[in-house]
Amino acid sequence: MSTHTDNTQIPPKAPDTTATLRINRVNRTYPNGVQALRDVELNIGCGLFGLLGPNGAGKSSLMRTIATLQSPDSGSVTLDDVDIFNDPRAHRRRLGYLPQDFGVYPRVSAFDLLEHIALLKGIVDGRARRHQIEALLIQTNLWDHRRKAVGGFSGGMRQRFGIAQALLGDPRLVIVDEPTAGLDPEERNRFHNLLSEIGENVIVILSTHIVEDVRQLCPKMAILQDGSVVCQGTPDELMTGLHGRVWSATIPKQNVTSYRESMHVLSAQLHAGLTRLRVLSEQDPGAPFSSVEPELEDVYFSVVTPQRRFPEES
Amino acid sequence: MPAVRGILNFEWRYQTRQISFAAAALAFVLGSITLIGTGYAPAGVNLNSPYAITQSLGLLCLFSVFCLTFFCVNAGLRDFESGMTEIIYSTPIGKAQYLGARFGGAMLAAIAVMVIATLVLMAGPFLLHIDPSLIGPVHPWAYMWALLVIVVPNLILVGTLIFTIALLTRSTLATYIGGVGIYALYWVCALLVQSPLMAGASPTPEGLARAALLDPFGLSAFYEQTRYWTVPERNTRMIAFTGHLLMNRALWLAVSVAVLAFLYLFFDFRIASRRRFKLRFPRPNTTRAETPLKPVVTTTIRLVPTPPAEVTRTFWPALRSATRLEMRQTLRGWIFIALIVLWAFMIGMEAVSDLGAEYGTHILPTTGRMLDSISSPLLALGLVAILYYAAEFVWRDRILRVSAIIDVTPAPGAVFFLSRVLTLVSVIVTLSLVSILVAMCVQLTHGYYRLQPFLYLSVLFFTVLPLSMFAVAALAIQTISANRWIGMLVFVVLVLLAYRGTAVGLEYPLWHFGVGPTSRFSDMDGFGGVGPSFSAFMLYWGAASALLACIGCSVWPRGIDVSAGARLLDLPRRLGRTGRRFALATTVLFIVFGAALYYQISVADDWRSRDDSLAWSANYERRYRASADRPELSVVAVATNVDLYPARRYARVHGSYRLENRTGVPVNTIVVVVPRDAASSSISVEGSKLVQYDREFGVRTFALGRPVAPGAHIGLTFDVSLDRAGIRATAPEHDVTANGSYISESAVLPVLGYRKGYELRDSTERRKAGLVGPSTELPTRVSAASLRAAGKDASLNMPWATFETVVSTSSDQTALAPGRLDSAWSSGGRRYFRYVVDAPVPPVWGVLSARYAVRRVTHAGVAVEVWYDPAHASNVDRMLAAASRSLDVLGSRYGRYDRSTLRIAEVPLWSSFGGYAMPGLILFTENRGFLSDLHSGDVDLVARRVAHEVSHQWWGLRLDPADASGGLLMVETLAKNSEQLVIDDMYGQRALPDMIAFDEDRYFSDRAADADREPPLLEVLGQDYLYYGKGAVVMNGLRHLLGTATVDSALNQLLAEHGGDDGAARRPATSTDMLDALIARAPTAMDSGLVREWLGDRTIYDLRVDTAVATRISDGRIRISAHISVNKTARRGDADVPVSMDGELIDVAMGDGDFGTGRLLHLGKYRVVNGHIDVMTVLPSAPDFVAVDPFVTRLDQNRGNNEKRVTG
Repeated sequence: MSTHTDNTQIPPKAPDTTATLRINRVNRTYPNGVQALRDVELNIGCGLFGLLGPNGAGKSSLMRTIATLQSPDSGSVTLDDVDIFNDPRAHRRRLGYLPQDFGVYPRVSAFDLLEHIALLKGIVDGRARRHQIEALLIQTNLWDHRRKAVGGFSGGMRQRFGIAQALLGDPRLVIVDEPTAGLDPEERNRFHNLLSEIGENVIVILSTHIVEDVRQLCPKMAILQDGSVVCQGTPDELMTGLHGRVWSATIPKQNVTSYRESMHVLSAQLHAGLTRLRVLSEQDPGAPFSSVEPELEDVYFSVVTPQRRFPEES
Repeated sequence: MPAVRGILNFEWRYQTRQISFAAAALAFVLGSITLIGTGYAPAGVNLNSPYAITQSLGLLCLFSVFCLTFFCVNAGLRDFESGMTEIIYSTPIGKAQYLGARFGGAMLAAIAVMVIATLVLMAGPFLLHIDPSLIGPVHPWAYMWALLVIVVPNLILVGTLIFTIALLTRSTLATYIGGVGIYALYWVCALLVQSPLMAGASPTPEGLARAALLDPFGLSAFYEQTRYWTVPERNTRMIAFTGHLLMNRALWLAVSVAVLAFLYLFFDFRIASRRRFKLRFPRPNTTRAETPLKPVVTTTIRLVPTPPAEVTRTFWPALRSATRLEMRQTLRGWIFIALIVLWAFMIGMEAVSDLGAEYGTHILPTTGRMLDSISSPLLALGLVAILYYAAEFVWRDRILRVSAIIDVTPAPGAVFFLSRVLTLVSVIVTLSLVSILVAMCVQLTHGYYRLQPFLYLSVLFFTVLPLSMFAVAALAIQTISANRWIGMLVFVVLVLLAYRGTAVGLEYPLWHFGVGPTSRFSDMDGFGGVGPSFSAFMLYWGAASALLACIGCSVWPRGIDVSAGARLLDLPRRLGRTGRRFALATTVLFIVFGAALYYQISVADDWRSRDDSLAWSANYERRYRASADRPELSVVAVATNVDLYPARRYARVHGSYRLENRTGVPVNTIVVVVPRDAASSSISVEGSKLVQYDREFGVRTFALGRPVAPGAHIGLTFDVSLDRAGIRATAPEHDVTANGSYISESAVLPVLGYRKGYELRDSTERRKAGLVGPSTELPTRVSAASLRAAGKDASLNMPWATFETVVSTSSDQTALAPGRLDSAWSSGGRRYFRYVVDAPVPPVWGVLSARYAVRRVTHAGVAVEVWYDPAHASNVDRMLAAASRSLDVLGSRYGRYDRSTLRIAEVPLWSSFGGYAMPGLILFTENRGFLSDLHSGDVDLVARRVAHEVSHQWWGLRLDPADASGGLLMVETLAKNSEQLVIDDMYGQRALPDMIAFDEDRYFSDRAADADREPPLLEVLGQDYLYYGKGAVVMNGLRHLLGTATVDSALNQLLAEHGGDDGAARRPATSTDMLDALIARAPTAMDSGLVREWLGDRTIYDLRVDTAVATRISDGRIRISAHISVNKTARRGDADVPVSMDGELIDVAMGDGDFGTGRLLHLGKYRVVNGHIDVMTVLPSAPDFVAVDPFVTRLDQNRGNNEKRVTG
């Protein structure tokens, strides 16, 4: 690690195990009639929390609500037992946010932009600010590019810049909305490492529709569907819940439709010209199915309603 | 092709369903209604005449730049902004089809908007409440014609340019700037032509032709074609699609096609997403930087804890950073640089063209004059810049999607709002500083070195400060608005209400956002005391702006809850405690300032709306006109004390009249009227009782205990004060000023009897006010003898009087008044001057006071003095010389100047006149005469003006005509004659045509604009284009026709019979007397016919050299043969009918170079036979030109064809 983070100068913080984000019966309906959030109830403690759900499930709405960018129609959100909408500015002082999609000013370098955002976040002490920016640039591996315009960054660099700006100012709560969409495997891996390096005393909410992300990173998770939380827990707990109920078989492609009609199909993946089918069943469906260990993806597909699932099958 | 139709169809539906289309259509409907409602047409021209239709559509066309910008941005840039580029570009559509369909869609939408506007223009006159006399028959074809000839080509041109800019730069802002650039292009051309849209100078015919060809909107060509059209012509004639208009349209259509071809060649259809059309400005390297893959080190990111900072401590650094970033984005952008370059060019053009403005004479580039050139363009461009930049600043973060990051920072909305305010104000300040630099360069290049940098900075106060308030308002509007187009539209409405609110009934000054009374700058009197009033309005609007800023800070949009209503409803909570206090404080201040201003304007200063003023005049007439013919006493001696307090802008005038009964009957009632804006007044009349005091009109009626018998006298004393300090809604009256006071008799002295001047003259206004019949009319075509016979002469003219004045003023100023300086003394820290006019003079009287310098010469026993501002010495010697020369020339012709002193004094530029003559005292305004800057080749305006005003010592002051129509013929027209005599004496006869050509142009252009039927010179009333313009040509013609000596002899007869004062036995001259004196001296019937026609009829000429051919004859000499055709028309009713010119003698000249300065080879008079002149003459060498009527003795409506180059 670089010498830029000088641990001796800053007293280590006492672990704060009470830090909790409580989302209490939050509802939100948009003017066009879409109900984006329905009675969402979540308690999120320190560490990475995965929020999984298909496109349109309400993940971004929930993220924006937690970021005080939009207010709920009803319900409340508290951080450390303080309602975040009572004083949004106080809340934002503790918040880091990497939006799903963001732009940057043209012709402004990474360093300058971080400096600007740091000032907006209230880091007025010049030395501390520079110190922190330099540390973040090194940690996100952008140090060599700090003088280059962010507008010219590649997707991965841009996301790393995004996490750098989110981490400015010592946030208690970091929200990361769909961060790996569009990244190549290498960059995605790098980004996962970055996320996993964020300290344990911080609540990090990772919203994604990629099950793999959650499986790799998150000790706790919830799945959102049609604006409602359909399940939550640790990935292991959730997978254990399906133990002995997931079955798999490899069948010819033309038979898939008939199985779909008779069984709860979790996934159907092509494999060497045949279809590998995974189904959910309380009883043994018999040959050609055999019991398999549940995976997190099985949990996901077991709760996400079928009609919302399969654009690829039509 | 079906594909194209399909896309075009889609484009049409897409464009017309955008809110910008609805907004544009609404704006143009409102614009059309405003044009109809405010009667946008020259006086007397019908609102639905072909002229008014073309003019209105032409004006609306200028504004179509706005809607075209929206449509073209929509058509050209929506793929980029919405990220559709890849999808669209990968379809099989071709470049031409793509461009054609997109452009076509935008054009269709724009044309649709203009068609809607046209329909409103067509229906408006019948749906709105319009004076029926302003509506003529409907000419549907005229609307179509204007659409086809003016509107559609303009839309195509503007659309092409904007569409091209949009596609090649791919920048919305660049496209807006392109729109501004097109406006600038129009301004540059409009500067070259005297269009009703611009207050410009009189252009030369060549300049006009150039402008007609080059004006991209074709309006100059339209004005060029119609500028001499009379009212009936404007009502009926269609615009002819020929000549310069045709060439103009062809030229700009060709330009459009060329630009489209350019676009087609350079628009890169395939690799579109990143590359931009490279303009000259290099862009920083934005190529992708790839991170080399390094082994990922697994560590824990240690967040550096930051101590929680005080909110106030974090605010300023955040604001500083946001402002710095915002400025960097704006001021360093090439768009801003382009704007600055454009602006510098515009201001340079404006400043330089303003310096050659007056009757062909240049003007010194004083800093005050430069301020005039800067301030209104700065206001206009500043507002446009605010319109565009406010939208850009508020919406940029959301368009760039930076807001996703920025919105969640704890920085308050104030950081974002105020940083935009600061940046926008910097833009305006930069614009103003650039204009100052350019103006200084103009001064230096003209050899003027008195730069006055601090005076320039007044722009910051009078223009930049209001603009800053508009900036706050525009940003607040955009912040609240849910859509940037709606925000822009609302801002445009705010600006229109501020500057044109009166048109929609919001006339009260407190409605006009950001506007306060302003003033030009006078070197003598500064800003004329307008400072306190302007400051008061700025405080009022400043409080409003602070409140708007407070709201803007609070409702700054964060996240997606941008609904305007929701944010406004949430305002109290969003304001926070500090915000609520601030909002409360600004609201209270706004109300307090507003109430205080209301008190000042309406209670202390008696502000009146236009309707109230009209009603006041109408009521005065209703109440008092019946008593207009009551016998009145005459003021025969005036003794006044005038106490001036320049620093306080206060004056007290007290004194007495000696009244004489010159009527044949005893008088027992005296009516005295005091000007309505006097601060206080008291009147008493010897031996009488005040029976009525009508405060509304300042009319006092006194009943005399014993009637005044004919020939008897009585005394009247008065005490009137004027207070021009304090706060008011308009610039104060400029009679009592800090330096350069000029109080005229009409401003302070009580008047006896009925005041005709209070009557409404305009027939439309009279009808609206419910007055029956015309205003008081003057006797017409009567001789002095017949007036006398009718016993009317005494009441027909102001009696002459003697004057005795004691003026006191501050110790640093000198006071001047007509007459001889009897004595001067100092007492109590003030200076006193006593001026006496012993013999009766026409009652034209006033006093002046300023910090004067003086230069004197004694010429032929007369002390000639020029009293001037010490900074304005450059023309003083020229004035002394011209005055001396005028006294010689005029004295030898019309009798010696009969006073010991002739004073010329400078007054501030507030006065509307160029010069004004009182007995022995002539006034010139500082900017006309004192600041003339004669270049070689200029008309000597200084000498011309001095001669003109000196001659009034004869014409007007010695020959004081009867108060009948045509009276001004013997005042102003004879002064024009005298100025020509003096210029002829100084520069020779050939210097006159250039000078008189300006008078001729004045006649033709103002005659066209005069709605009332043009009278002949004998019946002239207030029409300056007749007594100056036509009069100058006619007098020149008369001298050429009869000879100068003959004309002088006739004028001397007038002076002998009607000049001077015989007390009760006066016989003031009428225009008929002048006509008779001239006719009596005309040698032939032809000549007397012409004299009668020029003075008593309305004829105009068109002389034209058709061919001029030179052939060498045997002895080596050159034979010139020229064919000249002539036309003359006389006005009969509303039409010009041809009349014969046969028998008239016309000058024909042949020579080289310029007529004024070149070699004259031949000059002869030729008689018109059968409507033409054939000239055949033999000269030793070939001339360059043949010219007909080179001395401008005839009113020729097309002087451009009077000269022809010799061919062969």
